[in-house]
Amino acid sequence: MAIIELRNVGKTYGKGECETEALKNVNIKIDEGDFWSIMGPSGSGKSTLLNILGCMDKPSEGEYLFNGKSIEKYSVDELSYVRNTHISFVFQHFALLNDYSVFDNIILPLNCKKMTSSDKKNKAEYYMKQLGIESLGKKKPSQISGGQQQRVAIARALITEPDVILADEPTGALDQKTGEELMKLLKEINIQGKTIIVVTHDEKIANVASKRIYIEDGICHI
Amino acid sequence: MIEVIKSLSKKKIFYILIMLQFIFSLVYFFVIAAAIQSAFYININVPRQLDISTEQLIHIEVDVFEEKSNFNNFVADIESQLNGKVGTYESNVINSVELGGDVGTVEIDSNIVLMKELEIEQGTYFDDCDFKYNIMISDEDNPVSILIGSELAKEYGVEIGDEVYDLDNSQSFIVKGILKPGSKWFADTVDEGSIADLGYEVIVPRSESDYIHVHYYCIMPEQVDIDDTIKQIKQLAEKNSVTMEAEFVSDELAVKFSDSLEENKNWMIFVVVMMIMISVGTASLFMAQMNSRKHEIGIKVAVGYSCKKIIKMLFGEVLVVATVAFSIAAILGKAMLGQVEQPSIWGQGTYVDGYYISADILIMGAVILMIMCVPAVVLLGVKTKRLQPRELIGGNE
Repeated sequence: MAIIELRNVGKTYGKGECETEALKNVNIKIDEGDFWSIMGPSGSGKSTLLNILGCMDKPSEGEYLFNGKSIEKYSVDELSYVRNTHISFVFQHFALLNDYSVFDNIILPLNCKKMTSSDKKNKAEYYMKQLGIESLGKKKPSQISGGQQQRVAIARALITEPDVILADEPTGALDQKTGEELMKLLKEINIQGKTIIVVTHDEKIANVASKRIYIEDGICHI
Repeated sequence: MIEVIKSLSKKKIFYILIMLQFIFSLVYFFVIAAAIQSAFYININVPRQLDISTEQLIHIEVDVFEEKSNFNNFVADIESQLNGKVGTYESNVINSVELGGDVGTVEIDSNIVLMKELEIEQGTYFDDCDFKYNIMISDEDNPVSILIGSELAKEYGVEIGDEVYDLDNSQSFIVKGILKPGSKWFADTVDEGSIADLGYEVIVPRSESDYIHVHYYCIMPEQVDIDDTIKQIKQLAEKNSVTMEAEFVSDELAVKFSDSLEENKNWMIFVVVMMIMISVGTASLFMAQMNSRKHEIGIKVAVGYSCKKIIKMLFGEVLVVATVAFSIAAILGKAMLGQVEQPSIWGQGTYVDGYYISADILIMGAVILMIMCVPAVVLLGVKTKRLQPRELIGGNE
């Protein structure tokens, strides 16, 4: 069953003369356990597509089905619930809170759930160990390397056990070696059953994915 | 709550600055509100404490250097020509082992109880002879009658007929009566409005015309003509070469009330303007901070924080800061203005003058603080609802 399905999705920003069509008639079907890459030049609409896939934005036209249900009538809070429960993000610049410790960053999504502190701690420790960052819990993001920061971001993405992980240029701020390690890690996560969608303009990174979307001027080519 | 506290701890300086603004304005408000409260307190409570109308009571301030005989003639003229009764009272102190050391006293003239009666719980009130004692021979054989406060009597086990010795003045007293609990008297002049609790005080009869005291009260019959009476008193003073100023207590209270309100009105306007400015300033600071927190809020929204949760968190922060600021301001205000009951200068007694932070003032302060937070809270709510986390991904491509 398709976990994500876009039917004739379009997205327009602005009005009148300033109107910009960022996405045109997008039709995508993403199954559970897929590993997709979205490629395209800068300004092609890939971030817009990622925003829509991640329920951070709604399409101007067409239909977005998540787990078979249209999100069109979802309220802002229902979309937040979907993001918290089913979808996680990994951002290019990690999007970690510098005032928070690594541990507090990782458990951030769990603050929206009714969980005891010890349960949160146990979960965080599990994923920190899985990702080899168990010794960094008390450090601030600024005190660790870029690769470690991205692992923290992945731990944060995994901690809610989401169905889909959306990664926006996840290796963009990393050196080549660390980037390759990270992609290996994402592949392993995919093998464990998670659906992964990576936005990239790097051919090597895109090759790790099993399926590819090329987007240009808002038009998707699969 | 834990998250709010954590969030606050990350932005200590910002919140300390906001808190200082709130504390400063609230303390200022408390002080001015207490001054206004005091004006109302005096205006309402002094007439309540008196047994006669303030329009029958004339406050005569006599020059302390006058000849005693001149003054006695002046008083005799008032009593005969105007049917007024003149009396005074004075605060003093005795040092008595039987009463636990220094004890505040109110020395009263025989006529003064016409102005405010003293109610006796046990024993009896003074009789005429008690006001005619000779201070020079008031020893163990000739003790002076006194009335003592109920709490003082209870604490030191003093009963009717017990003798009390003043170590400082080598004077003997005998307890003639114990005052009713809750008995009150004026700590200073009547128009000052400080109401003393007599629970720990001693009432001593003043021997007639021992010396001329500064403040006297002339208790007039009902429905006197105010202007005419003052005019006549001035004429009698001139006739007897007494330098004095006389004023009806009602007039004194009215002038004091309007002066106090007028004086504090300007300060209160200043406080209100300051509070509006602080309120706007706080809202602006929160907005500025909100812009700098866009990244943090964006991340939280991206990981699934609902708009409600974000607004709750921001409101929680404002609420915690406001609550802490309010508590500190209340403590500071109380420390600055003292207790509800001020300790008497002498002995263990207390008095109330309305210049304190009452529960009403605290409630008003809390309401004002909430109103001050409204612009910040409304703007935060509106701004949060407009926040989109998509900037984290790269904007509108």
